[in-house]
Parts: sequence; C-alpha cells; structure tokens
Amino acid sequence: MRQNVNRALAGLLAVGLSLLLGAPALATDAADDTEADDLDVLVERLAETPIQVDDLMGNGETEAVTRRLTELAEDIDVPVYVALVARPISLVDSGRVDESLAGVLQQELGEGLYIVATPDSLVRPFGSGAGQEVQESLHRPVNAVKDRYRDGAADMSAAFEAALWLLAADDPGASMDDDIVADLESESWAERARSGFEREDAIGTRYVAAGVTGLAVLVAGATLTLLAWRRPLGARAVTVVDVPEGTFDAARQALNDAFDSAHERESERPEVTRRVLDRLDAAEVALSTGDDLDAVGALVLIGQAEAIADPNRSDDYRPCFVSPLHGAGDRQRAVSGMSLQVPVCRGCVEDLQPYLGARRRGRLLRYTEIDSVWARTGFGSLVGDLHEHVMDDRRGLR
Amino acid sequence: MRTPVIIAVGTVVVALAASAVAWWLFSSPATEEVATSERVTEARTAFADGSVWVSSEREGWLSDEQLQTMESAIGDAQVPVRVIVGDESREGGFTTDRDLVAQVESEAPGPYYYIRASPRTLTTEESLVRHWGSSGSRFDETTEYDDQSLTADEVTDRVVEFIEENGPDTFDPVERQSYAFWGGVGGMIAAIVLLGLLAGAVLASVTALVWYRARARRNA
Repeated sequence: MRQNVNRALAGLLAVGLSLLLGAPALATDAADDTEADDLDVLVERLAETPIQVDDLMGNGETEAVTRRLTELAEDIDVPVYVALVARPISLVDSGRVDESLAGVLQQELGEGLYIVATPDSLVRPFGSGAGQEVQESLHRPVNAVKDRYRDGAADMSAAFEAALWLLAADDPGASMDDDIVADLESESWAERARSGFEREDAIGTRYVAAGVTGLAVLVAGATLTLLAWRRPLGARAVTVVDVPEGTFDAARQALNDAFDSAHERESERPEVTRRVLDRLDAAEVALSTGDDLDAVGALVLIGQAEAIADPNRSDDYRPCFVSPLHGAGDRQRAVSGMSLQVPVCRGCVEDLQPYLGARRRGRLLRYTEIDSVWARTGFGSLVGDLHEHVMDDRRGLR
Repeated sequence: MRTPVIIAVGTVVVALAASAVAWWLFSSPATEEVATSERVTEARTAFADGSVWVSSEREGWLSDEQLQTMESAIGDAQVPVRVIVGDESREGGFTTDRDLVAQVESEAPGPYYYIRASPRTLTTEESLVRHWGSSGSRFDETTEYDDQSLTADEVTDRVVEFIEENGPDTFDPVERQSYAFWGGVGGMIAAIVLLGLLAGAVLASVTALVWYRARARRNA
C-alpha cells in the first residue's frame, strides 16, 4: 500500500519537477541550473556512497555518524540507502518532503530500503521490492525504543533514529539487541545537540544555587552566633555554684524545728499559725522529692514562715533572686534574662554573686535555666504566694 | 565564650560544604561543555575573511556573483552585518541560529547583525539579534515563507536592499549579555543576595526555634 502511494507520489513529483524546471517565471537561469542539479547530485552521491549525511544533519559529528551508519548497513540483505540531508531546493515547496524525496530516490536508484530525513521532516523508512518487506517489519522494534524517549528530557537525534532503523533491518521482525541499542545511545550524537544558551543558564543557576545556599548558611550562622554571644553577656560576670552538700538534711532539720515552734505557738495566734503551717506544708511537699533545688525551696518557705511568725519582721519575705542562699532580696537590680528589676541581696547589688545552680546531665546550669517552679518564681523572689505555686506545681496545676 | 566561636567556625565550614553540595546537585549534563560543531568551525573560518558564509548544504545555491554582490553591499555601507546562507537545523551541532551565532562569535568576535538566508526563510532579526541586547534598533524582516520558496536572486536582492535601506545608524548591535536568564552577572549577584538573605533568615529562625525547644526539653 505504502509502496503504491510512494510510486504515485514519485510520479506526481516527476511531473511537478518538470513543470517547475520548465517555468521560466520562477527563477533565473542560474537558479534553474542549481535546482536541476540539486536532486541529481544527491542521487549521484547515493549511487556512489549509499550513506549520505549532511553536516546539517550530523549533529555536529557527521563523520562519526556516517561511519557508524555505514557499519550498521553493511550486513543488511537488501540494498540500503540513507539520506539525512538538507531539504533539496527542488522540493522546497513540497508538503511531505520525506515521501517526495524517497519517491524520487526509489525511482532513480531502484529497489531497496530507504531511510530519509531532512531538518523539517521525520526520520522514516521507505521500501520497494525486497526492501518493502523489510521496511514493514521494522516499526514494532524501533517504536519500542522510541517510546522510551517520548516522555524523556532528551530528544533523539535523526542520526540515532536512522541507526535504529538500520539495526532493526539487520534482523527484520526480531527484537533489537539491547546491548547494541545501549551502545548507540551512548554515542555523543545520539541526542540532539544541546544549546549553548541552555548550558549558560544552567551554569548561572548553579552559581546562584551555590551562592544562595552558602549565603543562607552564613546569614543563619551569623545570626545564631550573635544570639549565642548575647546570651552569655550577663552570665559572663557571674559564676554558678551547685547547691551545697547537706542542704537537704539542713532543710529537713529546719522544717522539723519550724513545725515544733508553730505547734507550740498555735494557741496564741491561730491565724498566724495557719499561715505559717501553709508554708511549712508546702516545704514538706517540696522536700518529698529529694532534689537539691527543692531543698533550697523548702528553706525559703521555712524562712517565709519564720518571718510571718516573728512580729518584729515584715511577713513578706523574698529571697535574693540570684540565689536564695544569699539571704533576703531587699534591693532591686536588673539581671541578664529578666526584663524587669528583681529583688537581690546587698552583695549582688554591687556585683552579682554566684548564681545558684544544679547539675543536669552532667552540666552545671543556673537554676533559672532549669524548668521548675523555682525558675518560674525566682524561689519566691518574684511572687508573694510561693507556697501556693509549690502546691499547685505538685498537683500538676502549673 | 566558646559557644559563639564554635558556631562561627562551624558556620563557615557548613556554608562551604553546603555550597559544594548545591554546586554538585546543580551540575547536570546541561552544564557540560557543548562541543563545537563542524558548521561552526566553517563559519568562523568564513567570517574571518568576509561577511558571507555559505553552509555546505547550500553550496552552489547562490552564484559567486551573487555572493560578491552581498559582500560589496556590506562593505560599501560599512555596517556590522554578517550573512549566513544555510538552513536551520536542530541536528547540525547547535539548537538554533542563536547557538550558531553564539558559538561563532566566541572566536570571531561581534557584535554583528546576522542575516540568515535559505530558500525557505530570510531571517534578519529577532532570533539572531534579540539575545545580544539590541539598543533599540529592530527590524521587521523576519519572514517565514511557508508556502513559497525564495529564489537565489530574490534572496540576494532582499539582503542588498535591506543593507542599503538601513545604514550604520540603524545597525547598532550590542554585546550580548552573559547569563541572560538571570539578567546578567549583576542580576545573578542580586538574586544570590536577596534569596540568600531570605533563606538565611528562615533558616536562622527555624534553627533557633529548634535549639531553644531542645534546650528547654533537656533542662526540664
């Protein structure tokens, strides 16, 4: 069927060409000569060397392409002609240049398998005589390879496609040898030439990606460095000391003594005693954990209870924010990490004395860095109802 | 005291490493060198001696006399114009005319206006000039002859007329801009600074958040 169409087209073309060449209005004599020579020259070249690849179609490596196509065509049983060429001037106005070109070539060169393509056509096989049978068996194996490229990023070059048709024609009807296909795919001309502009854009994008990544890390790192630098500024002037050994036992003893005193005075001032016992109960709860910071907190609560019980003292006892072990916080000053001034002892007003701290996972931290009721209340230096905070904390309310 | 120093040194090391990783990730076949095709080599040789190059597929289409007419017109008008007589092909070692010209100009420096002439197309502008950053002079001679071919005489006449109609004042090509996609080197630097600062701010915020949360959890 295709052969008949090709023959008909070739016949029409021959008529068209004769009209074209005979029409004086279309071109000058010089141009006529060129057009007349155009296809004849191609036919002569193919008759002499059946593989013809123009520079225009060689994907930048015409010699290598011609050599490989010639090798592939050597073992094919029927005459093979490959024409990867510029659109012949005689066929400039042809709608289906590949069919027209194949028709002319078949007419001039005879039976065989023809693989033709121009820059603006597909790469297609045409056959006549024995070549017709071969040509009809090629589509399935070649299309199987072409399908892989359909959705891929790379475009197959015309030279690669021509090579596939030739490879399939070597053993008509059989699947193509994957190793040979892979070998062809690895040829530098197997994909259409890349654009220098695409390359430049890709290189530019690479510079931008590397630059943005590096700068982003630098900016983030510099910001974090500043944050880390700023945080220890206040802390650099102070040191941190662990809760002294024996604090827990001292707190337990002090609590027992305080309970005894409270019960002795219970009948004299019941209201005061109730407030004292509230603090002592909270101290009792705090001591139940065995934690050193809790022991210090218990001592603060006992101190507050004693202040309430002593009619000569203010009943709002607040310890030094920096460390309750410094004593009462009856002065005010700003310290690192606090937006407001906090109660501190006399010693800390001039120069911050050692912060109370505790070890967590081997590191000695300021108590303010350890999430607890003591950090939230500054051991009662920041609130007036420490005992309620402690009780709520133990009940899980805060 | 030690922590900020560690962070600062770590930052520089990580920044270098991250840049290297980004460089590697964005190194694709697209960034590999593009081979110089045989047509480009031919064109460079031709343009070293004259203003007209006839590509091998169109050899003989224009007579020597017609080629000389074009050369003379360009010489007489003293305009920076080069004529490519040949077909466009994505199979020819370059993707478009622009690539051809870019490769040619890397060794036969421009800037020039390029006119491509083939039996089907006479292209003078846009595709060839646009990426050279024309300083305003544009031509509307881009013409695709889809259903009618041009004869050698027609092409010669059109090219000569075009050169004579547009003198040196009109032909004003400008050096093409590198990295045009990014707006040149300046655009690339601006993009790096802008995107780098934004990404850095986001990265710093996220890292600080994670850091403080982790510390709070550890100290709890």
